[in-house]
Amino acid sequence: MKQTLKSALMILLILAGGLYACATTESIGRSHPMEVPSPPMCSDCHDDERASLNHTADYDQRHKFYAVQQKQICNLCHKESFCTDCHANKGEIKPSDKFKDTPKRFLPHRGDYLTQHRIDGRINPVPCLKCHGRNNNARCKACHK
Amino acid sequence: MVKNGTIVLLLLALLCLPRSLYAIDMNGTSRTYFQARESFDDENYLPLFEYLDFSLDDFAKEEYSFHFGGWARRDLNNEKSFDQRSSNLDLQYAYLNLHRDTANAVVNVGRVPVYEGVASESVDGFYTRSDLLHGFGIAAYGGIPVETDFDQRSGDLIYGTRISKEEADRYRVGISYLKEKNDGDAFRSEAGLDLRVRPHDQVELFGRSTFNGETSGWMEHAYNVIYLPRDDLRVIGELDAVNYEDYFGNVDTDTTGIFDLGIGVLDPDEQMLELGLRGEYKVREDLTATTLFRNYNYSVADSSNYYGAGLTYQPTEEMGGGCSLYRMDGQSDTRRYYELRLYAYKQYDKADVTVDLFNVHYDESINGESNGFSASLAGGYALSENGRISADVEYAGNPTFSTDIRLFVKYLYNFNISPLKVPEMKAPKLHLPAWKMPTLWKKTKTEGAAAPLDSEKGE
Repeated sequence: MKQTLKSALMILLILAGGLYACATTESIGRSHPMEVPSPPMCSDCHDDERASLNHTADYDQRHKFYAVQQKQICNLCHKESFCTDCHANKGEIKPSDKFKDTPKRFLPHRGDYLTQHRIDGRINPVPCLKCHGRNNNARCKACHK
Repeated sequence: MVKNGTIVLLLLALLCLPRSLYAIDMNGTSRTYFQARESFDDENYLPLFEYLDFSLDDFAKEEYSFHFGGWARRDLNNEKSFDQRSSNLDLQYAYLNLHRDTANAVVNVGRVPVYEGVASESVDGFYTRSDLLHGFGIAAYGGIPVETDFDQRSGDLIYGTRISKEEADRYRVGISYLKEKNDGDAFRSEAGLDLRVRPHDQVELFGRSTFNGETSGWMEHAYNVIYLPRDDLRVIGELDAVNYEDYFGNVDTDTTGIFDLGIGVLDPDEQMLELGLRGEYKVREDLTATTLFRNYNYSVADSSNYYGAGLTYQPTEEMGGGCSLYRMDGQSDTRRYYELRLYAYKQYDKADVTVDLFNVHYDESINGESNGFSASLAGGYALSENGRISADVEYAGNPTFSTDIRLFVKYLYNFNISPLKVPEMKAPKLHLPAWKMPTLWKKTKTEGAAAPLDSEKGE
């Protein structure tokens, strides 16, 4: 069984290698070629699917869907450290505490969340696990061992 | 096993090498934070943090670059401000990147972030992706998972892949798989479908479904649909269906204990269906109204609703404000509250001021208190084109603990070092000062800039 899997993997790799060699798509660049405002409204220039990347008020709630499909689009404008402002492994400072001077930026748990999380966690614990399951959980484990 | 200290030493050695060996562009940001706060038991904490991130571009060849991000803390009064430690550090990412000009081919090696389908991970290993023929694409990653508190890393392994198919401007669909082992034992196995469809300029459907291979059940189906009936109006529909038994099925001693279905807080028989509707209306150029309604329906518990509205006002680029009021209408008085927020900011040449007020009013008082509040005042000053200092004071109180005052001071410095090759590195032109969002914008190179994207509206 293992040998079959190994063989299948090898065939897949060779196939992928061959298909890669034939692919001629031009890569998305490393940085956006034009200066853009903050927050960017991509529809100002693009009328294709890139228009849906407008950083409207709700973008924080849907950015995950785009990031897991095409992270290289995010990389046009965002350094990796922008993502790690929230998507941390060991975060000791609450993201919003680092950016009190940037009130428009969506950051989780602004204000007092210690009392509020008891309710939100009961209503919808799903987003809690994503960030505080096996990462960034030292503060949680102080109570929730 | 890769240790943080080893990587730091390697990086320092790398930076000490004569730069004549490379035509390297180096740019990054140093953020120094000082915090003064009290603990729950009235100990005074004075932690000092240094967050450093930088990129080495055109490293040996134009296709190569190196990216680093990490932080370190030291408590100035030798208290143990966090996790029973008076000092701490973390390597967030450090990887060598190969970025080819064709096929969107990428190879990252080191401590790499991975965002592909079901994967949203940090891995000590590799990540690679490439376009294939006829709109297909493939990505793969593997290594040791990076977690906060792992018992030992020997025997830990994570790997996965994503295969995608796209037709630009019509649809993008991907199938992904992830496998994780903890101490050699199968721990996590997930498969997923991610979808994005744009049947019309005014309509977009996107989302994903995730399957738990260990529990043999669907963890979650999360989808949104956006409808743009007019230029000034956006309507978004949400659906999120979760099976608790499958979603919270991968729990071990390293996971935060509250998510363990066996301890009785989360019911393994529970299924949640969240349906929501959001709206965003541009009243005029400087005023936008938002509204939200979410219904949480459960198979075991009673349903709940969360709803509210907000306004943002921005008459100029240098000033603005907002307000919002939301209501959590939970299953009982103990799960109901009002949430109010008010904020305003203004820039004066090189200085800026921000005020931010929060208040949560609980229907049922907790410890005799019904409100949890936070009031902060922040001010900043641009010392130079690349450096800015700012400070904020926060006064907060909540029903669980007494009120306290916190101070936070930060110094931010953007640097760019190009000793041999001096491209015309322009700081991106921002409608807000560059230092407002220091990690947001990457510099736009005038040399070797990517070709203009197609489908641009020309003037």
